[in-house]
Amino acid sequence: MSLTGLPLLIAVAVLAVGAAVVTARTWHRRGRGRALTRAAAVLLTEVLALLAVGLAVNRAEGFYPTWGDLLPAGTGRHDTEPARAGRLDRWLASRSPTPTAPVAFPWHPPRGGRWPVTATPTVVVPADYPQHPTRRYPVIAVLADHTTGPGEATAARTVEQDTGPVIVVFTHLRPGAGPTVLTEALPAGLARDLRVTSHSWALIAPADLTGLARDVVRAAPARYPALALVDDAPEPTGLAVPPDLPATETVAVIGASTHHPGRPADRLAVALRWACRQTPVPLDGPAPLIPPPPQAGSPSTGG
Amino acid sequence: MGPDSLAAALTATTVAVAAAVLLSALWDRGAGVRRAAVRAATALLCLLTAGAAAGIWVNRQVDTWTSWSALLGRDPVATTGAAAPAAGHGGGRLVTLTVAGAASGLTLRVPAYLPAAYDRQRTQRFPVVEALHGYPGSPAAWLNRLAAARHLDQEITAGRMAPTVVLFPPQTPSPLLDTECTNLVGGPQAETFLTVDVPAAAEAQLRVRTDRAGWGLIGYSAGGYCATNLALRHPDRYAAAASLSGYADPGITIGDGSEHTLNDDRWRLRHLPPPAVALYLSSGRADRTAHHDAEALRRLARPPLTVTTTYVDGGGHSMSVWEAAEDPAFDWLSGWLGRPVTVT
Repeated sequence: MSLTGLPLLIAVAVLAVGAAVVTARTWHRRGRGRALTRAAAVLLTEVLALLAVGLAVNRAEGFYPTWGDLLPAGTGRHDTEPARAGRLDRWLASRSPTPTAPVAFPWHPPRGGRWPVTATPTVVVPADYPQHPTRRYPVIAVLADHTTGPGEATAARTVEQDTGPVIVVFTHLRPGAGPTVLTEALPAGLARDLRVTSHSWALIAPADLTGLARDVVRAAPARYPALALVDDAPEPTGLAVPPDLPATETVAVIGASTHHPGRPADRLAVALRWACRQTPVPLDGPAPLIPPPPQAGSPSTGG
Repeated sequence: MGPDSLAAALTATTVAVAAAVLLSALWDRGAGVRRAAVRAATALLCLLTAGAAAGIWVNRQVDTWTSWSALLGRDPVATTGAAAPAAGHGGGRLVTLTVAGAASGLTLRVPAYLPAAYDRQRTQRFPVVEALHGYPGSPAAWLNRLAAARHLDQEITAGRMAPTVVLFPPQTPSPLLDTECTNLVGGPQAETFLTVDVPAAAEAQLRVRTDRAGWGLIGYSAGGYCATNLALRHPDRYAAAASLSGYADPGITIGDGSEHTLNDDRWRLRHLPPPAVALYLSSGRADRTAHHDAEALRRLARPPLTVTTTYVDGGGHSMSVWEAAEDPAFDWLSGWLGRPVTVT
């Protein structure tokens, strides 16, 4: 009999009324233990009446559809399923099982030959990546230009020591490249080769690629909710945040006119630190949803 | 011995039994008016004690009143104290903020969970989650019935969740006034309290992130609706929200008709541009209204709004479902929030 079904409710209500009638009719019956009999009858009537009210409320609100739902929640183990390994995980582990510094390497993504790039992308993987094979890492995508080349890997290594673990990928796109490389090809390629999150990345763009960066975050605001624009000019150039970015986009301009301008050569590192702070901590996959205890009694959920 | 304690429930049950015994024992005593008065008084006592016992057992389930003074209306915001358990050994700890809401005019106490890392890493600001309770209910339900501190310790230690400050604000100044986290016309300005005053107080009194990337929402039942509705209405404040058995509309009268428009999440998704926030909707499949509403929101969602749904087979609208769902929901939420950052 279902906990939310009409039959149970009617049965308990009839029992409550019956108990009240029997209590009234036997109230004056004499005999030994009359006081206890009366008390028991009153309590039985009260319990049945309250039970009927509770069942009616439960039927209306659906708090406990089955008998099993009345039991305490199960406490199963929360074994995290390992994240799907990246294609490069084994190679990275074999390079150095316990690296003490981030690992930088030229990345050849699947079908990367068709990408509109002027140089092979560089990926910098945090030092703890091989040690946490169940974690997924956020990504900072850097639209690299001629000024970032020499120090890009060094800057990425520095940011991890200062701010925390994150995967950094330096792309070297040809002028005129469209946003789909960053909104589709790059995420797909990285997700195949490394354990990366599917959202909450950050994007860094030099001043001359502001238009492309705008198109990227407009097309994929959940992927790139944070954007850093880097102005390498030694003097303020008036680099402005594009006005038509999503309202939820977090944007920083790092240049001579900002609060911490630093030397032009340091601005990439500043941007990387800022971008890393916008991303989540690398985490294991969520705990599995442990269902409430097996439903004892009625398998029915309705009345 | 608060009104949500096992001792109070057992005592009330004992008194109800005693009242029934008293009724039967005194029924034939005395004569005339006196006998009638005794009978009436003991019968009334039976009804009152039975009702009180039932009420206390129900209150234990929903934790609406956690102190006798709150029950009597003298301290309607009492939410912690003896009723709030300390977090596990070696884990986080609970503190209480007093939020004097300059914007909302509400002054309420807000329990807060501080992760163990909060005391170890004193130069860091932490991401924040506002955890909203159901109706009827109180923040104590998160702490007592859902054992939130223990679950948070467990998830953070396991590496499934970043060290996060979790606030448990009350969403009404009166336990029996259902605000659904909205600004009631002529009533409490709960939305303003939760989205302006609570963040301001937390940022002033705790080392927490101040940007939207570091703020999220979670709630069960009415609090689930609150979480999704506030995230959709304030995407500049919150990056993500998780709803456990929440609905798509408030189900109350707000006073300006907005329960059918701006405070109806289905209406918002049909008529307004979707914001770039992430929603996690979870319920039992047998919880028909919550499940139906979650599916409706999932179908209506368009980019850049992201919706993730997870359902428990069976399950009702109960604490056991929410306790089963809170770990994955907190984990999911943490994955959408920015990391702890060093104070500069």
